[in-house]
Amino acid sequence: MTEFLNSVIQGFLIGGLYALFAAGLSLVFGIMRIVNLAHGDLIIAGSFLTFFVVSSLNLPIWISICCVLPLMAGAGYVLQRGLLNRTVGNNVLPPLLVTFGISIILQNVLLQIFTADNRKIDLGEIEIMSLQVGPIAMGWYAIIILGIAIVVIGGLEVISYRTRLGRVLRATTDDPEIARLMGVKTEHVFGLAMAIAMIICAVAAILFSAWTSFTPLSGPSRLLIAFEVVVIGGMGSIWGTLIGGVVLGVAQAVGGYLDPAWQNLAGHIAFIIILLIRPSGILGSNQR
Amino acid sequence: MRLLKVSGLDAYYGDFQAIYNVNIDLESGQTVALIGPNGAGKTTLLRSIAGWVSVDRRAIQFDGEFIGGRPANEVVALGIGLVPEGRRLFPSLTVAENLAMGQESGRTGIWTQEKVLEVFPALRDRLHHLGSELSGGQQQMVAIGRALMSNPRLLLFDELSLGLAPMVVNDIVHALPEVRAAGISIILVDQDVRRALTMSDYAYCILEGKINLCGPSDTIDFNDIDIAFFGKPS
Repeated sequence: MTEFLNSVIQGFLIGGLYALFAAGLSLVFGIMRIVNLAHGDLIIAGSFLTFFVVSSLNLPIWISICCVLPLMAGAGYVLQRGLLNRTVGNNVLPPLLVTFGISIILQNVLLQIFTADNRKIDLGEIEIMSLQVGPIAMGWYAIIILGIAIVVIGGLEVISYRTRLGRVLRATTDDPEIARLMGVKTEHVFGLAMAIAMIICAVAAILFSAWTSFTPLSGPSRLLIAFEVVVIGGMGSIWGTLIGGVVLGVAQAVGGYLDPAWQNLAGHIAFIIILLIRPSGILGSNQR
Repeated sequence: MRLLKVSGLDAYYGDFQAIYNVNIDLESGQTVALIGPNGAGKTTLLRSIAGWVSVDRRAIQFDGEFIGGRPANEVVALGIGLVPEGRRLFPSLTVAENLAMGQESGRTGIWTQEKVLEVFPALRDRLHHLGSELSGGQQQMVAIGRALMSNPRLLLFDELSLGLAPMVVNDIVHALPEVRAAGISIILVDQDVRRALTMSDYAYCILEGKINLCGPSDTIDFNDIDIAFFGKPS
């Protein structure tokens, strides 16, 4: 029983990481109607960037945070203004094809530079320290991940509902034509939205790089998790990504407890069940 | 002083030409009515001026500057506001947030949220409601207030009264003199030809993308308008 509880709580905590995978994907789809198939590979690119700074340059982890966050944000802005803005429109196919292409390019560039070896960042002590509550042991690193996820998603909520940028982002989501008529330079707003999404990706990438090992081909499975989380939590809901992440994390933990081979399968089954009984997601509205 | 000059304007939607060689003049402080049947090109004309439809640069001159084809976000910064057909509020933004979007033009002036609430007091207790929760008339008030918040010199009204109850239309129409008194020039499109004429100084009648009648609103002849709308009686 204790072992079961331990697994469930571990799954609950790792939901934070899944939520971070999903938040950027949800943001980009919500505002630009772009299904970013390169999302997972962008996260992995961030993880390799972290790996490069920490392992190859031998710099402390906090320096990698200072490098990776602004670099990813800048790359996101340039990617949006330089390339993806040209694909945005009434047709969903062009952005799908272009981001699929970016995904393939990223995977191969990473393979060229970093080879297909498994990589992982070593954070030392913190990875194995745990918090003992009665019979249950919770890993400190997983607790930190969930805490950061809550802070990031809360921050996204504050930006959306308490700032001028957030108001402009929501208005552009509602009706880009009218937003432009109000004086909003929508192509710039799209760039900023992608930059914010990439900052969240970077946070996820850094946390992920120390959580488990990754290769240049780990991107698509992150993308799959992100998709499932968005659908479970509800499209367009900020806190929905956190709930979706936790649901997926717990489902995988329960599956993994029953049989280690069932871990991923259990996550997919939970996803399909929720898709069947609540197609708009747990926190999703039924609009549209 | 001439504020707006539209000369030889052609406008297209894809391969379809909606406006043919249209000329319009508007003096500063003037109110001009555009009348004509559905599909005549009134909306396209307003959208061309607002930068929503791409047109030749020299076809539209605002305050001495050629602005044809400039993107809408730059046109609003020059001082041209549009109240779009169907109101088009941002549904997930509150009334106050919708109004605040008007300030994205970057222009400052007398039109603030408080000033808009003076003109449309009905909005005062609805500030924190979503735009989609309001009645049609209140939505139109927000749409007008939002455009006013951009502190325009020229305000374009597309279908001022379409789909609104007559009582509500009166509330909105009564606000127009206040807008004019603030020195804003107006181009308005309305289904109600008589009301459009009483509210305006000058009128243009459009049919099939061409202007076929124009004149001062108080002297224009209804028989001529009939003919302009429906063609010559046989």
